[in-house]
Amino acid sequence: MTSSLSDTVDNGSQTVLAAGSHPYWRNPLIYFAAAWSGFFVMGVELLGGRLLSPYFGSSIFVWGALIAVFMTALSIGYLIGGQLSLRSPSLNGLGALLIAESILALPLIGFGDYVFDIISYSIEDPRYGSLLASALMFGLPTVFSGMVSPYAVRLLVENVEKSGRSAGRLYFASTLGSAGGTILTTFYLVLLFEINTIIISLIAISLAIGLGLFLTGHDRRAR
Amino acid sequence: MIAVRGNMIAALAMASILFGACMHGIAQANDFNLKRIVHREKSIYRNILIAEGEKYRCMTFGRRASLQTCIQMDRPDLLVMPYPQGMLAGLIAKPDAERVLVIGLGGGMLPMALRKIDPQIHIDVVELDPSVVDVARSHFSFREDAKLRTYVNDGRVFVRRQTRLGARYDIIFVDAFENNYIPEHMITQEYIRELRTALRPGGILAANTFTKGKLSRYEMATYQSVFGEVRVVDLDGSNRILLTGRDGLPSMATVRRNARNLESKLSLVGVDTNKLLSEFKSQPKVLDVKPLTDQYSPANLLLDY
Repeated sequence: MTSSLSDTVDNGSQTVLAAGSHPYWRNPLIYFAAAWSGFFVMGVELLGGRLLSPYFGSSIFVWGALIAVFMTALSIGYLIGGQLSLRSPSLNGLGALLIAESILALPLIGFGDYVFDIISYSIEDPRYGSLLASALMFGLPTVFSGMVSPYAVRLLVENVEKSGRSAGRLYFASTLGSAGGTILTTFYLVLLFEINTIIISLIAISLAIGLGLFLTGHDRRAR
Repeated sequence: MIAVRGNMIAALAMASILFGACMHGIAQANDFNLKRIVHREKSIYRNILIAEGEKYRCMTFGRRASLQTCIQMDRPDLLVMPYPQGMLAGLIAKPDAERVLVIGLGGGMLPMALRKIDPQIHIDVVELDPSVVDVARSHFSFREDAKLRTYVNDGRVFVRRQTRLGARYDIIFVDAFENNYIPEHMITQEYIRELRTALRPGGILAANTFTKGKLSRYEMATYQSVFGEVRVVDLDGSNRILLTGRDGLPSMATVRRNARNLESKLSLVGVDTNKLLSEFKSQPKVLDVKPLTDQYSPANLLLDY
């Protein structure tokens, strides 16, 4: 009885998810992409505070606005990313998300100052000024960053039983990446480079990882 | 926000608060002799402690932090700490000032001294922390009037807004830093330019800044990059006042003449004009570091602890 039941489960997972047929580097690459995305989000968020401060100050509510925007954007991203994972998820798709997050962050270089300047003059209350400014400049790239995690979980999950472990490992990777992005940016990078140099580097690395995934990953077996 | 204090004062203040020891190390031999904490206020930015001894009351941001402001309780109109005295160098450079801006309130010693010296001068004060404003009113005899108004706002945001509204100042006093934390957007070339724009022709900037560490040279380079000539007034070796002007500084002959005219008024708030004058020093141009900018301003990382 017992063995036949476990056979059924194994068969199910084999047929549904075709686990084990991927190259050995595939899953580490997915974890790496998720960790990088976490790094990218926190790097941009902390530098975002610096980009906002000339126009809105560095009061507690400026950080409040910025963090609220990032959290909201991430939550929307989780929703959309989960939905997107239903339709032929692939490494290409994951790569496309990283490419999108990097390209959408590009306007932060230069154009951001222009937007912040206008908003700081047209909205008197710096709370709502910084909220709107953050939403406009950081919202969209962060939504795409949020899409990475649920999408990556779908690529990793081999079967229902192991799904929690896959999700746990992915959270581990992406949140540890976030911690890395936070500490490296604030402790060291701002001492070594200009803000724009750091942001451009973050964008370039995201783009490179995204393109790498996009080009190597024509695996559509994980339906 | 508040002011730069020396580590020496900080250490002494802590020793004094914790052990009731005397504080003979303070320049001008002010013995604050703080014995007990009489008030604590948790603001959204920090813990504000008010400590008292027999004669003096001081504001500090935590037991280990340096003193921000002290008053002599029976004579709250006297400037008992060296750095606000040094700030009055700004007034000596521009004695006919009608409208001034004070960025960073602390205990409100500087605006109250300005008010005492000139009952007519128009003073705007901007302070980030509403709790500091409350404490200045409740414990440091800070009083607003029709021509002395306090705005709770970020200093840089306020300057931008005032500039846009067309407000210009004869003197801007910057006292926005504390010893262990600097708002990094308020030490950049872009910000100093915004301050310069907010000055009237002939206007003067007096800034309470750092004396030590790598940061002091970066800071000097930044001010020099915007204003050119910068003079320094250093009354106690732990704070230095940077003095500079939108259209340069008056000659020392003019400064001396102004000082003589102001001498009796300055003595009202306990300032020794001759000592102040003797500390006016010109500064060589800092060449070995680049000015801080909005793009590169790791000010807190450049502090040497």
